[in-house]
Amino acid sequence: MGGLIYLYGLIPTKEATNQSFPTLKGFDGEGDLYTIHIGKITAAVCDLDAENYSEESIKDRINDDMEWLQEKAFHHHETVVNLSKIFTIIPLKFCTLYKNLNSLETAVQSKESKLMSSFDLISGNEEWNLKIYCDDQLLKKQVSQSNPTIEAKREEISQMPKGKQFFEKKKLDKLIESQLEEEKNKISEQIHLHLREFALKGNVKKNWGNDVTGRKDNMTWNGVYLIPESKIEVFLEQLQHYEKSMQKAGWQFEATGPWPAYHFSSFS
Amino acid sequence: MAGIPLFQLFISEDEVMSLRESIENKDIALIDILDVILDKGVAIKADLVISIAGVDLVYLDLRLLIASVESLVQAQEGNRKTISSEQFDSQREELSHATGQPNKWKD
Repeated sequence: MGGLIYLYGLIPTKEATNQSFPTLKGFDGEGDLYTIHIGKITAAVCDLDAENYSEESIKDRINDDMEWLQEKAFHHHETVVNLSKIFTIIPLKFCTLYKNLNSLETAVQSKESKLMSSFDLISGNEEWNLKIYCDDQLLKKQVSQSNPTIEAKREEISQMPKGKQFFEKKKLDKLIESQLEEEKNKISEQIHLHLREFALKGNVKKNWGNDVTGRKDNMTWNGVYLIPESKIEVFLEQLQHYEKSMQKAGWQFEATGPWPAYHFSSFS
Repeated sequence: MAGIPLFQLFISEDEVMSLRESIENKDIALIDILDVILDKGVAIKADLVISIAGVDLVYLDLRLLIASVESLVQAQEGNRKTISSEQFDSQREELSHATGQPNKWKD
């Protein structure tokens, strides 16, 4: 019977041998996590019975998968976070499985130098996420009022015959809409560039739609930052400053962290 | 469901870092976690429906997970289309092959 190996993360062997490894329940809720030393790198893993990943059980899961996914996603996250509190860790993505020890060892060995420089990069730094939201209606008002061309155009339209007004208003709306998007991007990007000054690295992710966020305002920025521990407080203070000065204009800032360095330590 | 806080990120022991502490103590939604731990993040359609765009896997098993998530998406859209028997067969073969198990479903 083949047993699978679930890989949570990679730790420098130096750290793994210096500190005791915590007792943490594995993916199936039965076995515990354990470590496998592969030269300078130590893998934090658990065993997974291949039998439980048969088509049959997966078929069953399809019916109530959300629950399963939620439970297992939390488990993965919680486990990696727990480890990241003790060790420098390169976190692995959800459900990274190896069919046997040999395949895991080969994968780690072939990337040893890349992994070692990843440890150097993330050690002493933290990953933080920032999502910026904007109330389009509020900003739209500002854009259309503060723009003299738009104001003049509006005045001009009001003097036109009704039939013509309709089409001209449509055109004007389009103009305001595109200026709004431009304005939102410009402001978000300025903030991003400013915040990056406090970070080692900063990446931009895709914005989520309102159906995901369940919010009325729109996500205009989704960024991840790798920040030196000593600069986190300043980074957050900058955010707070933005929040205070821009809130009335319809802007919201949501920071989460620290996250294990998922975005800055790729193993793939 | 997306807005419901489901998880609390760990609590800092450092009392000096108040700003940081207040953020650390905030609840994290499942969707935030999925967007981080799934390779390509998540793209949501409605009511926390997940579609995963080309998840890059070190090894095979997640494809099975994706198959199940896709099926869930379709079911929630009221357009239920479960995995075809051919897809199941091919996934089963891949899994049996990868795990080195005898193929129990051999026809």
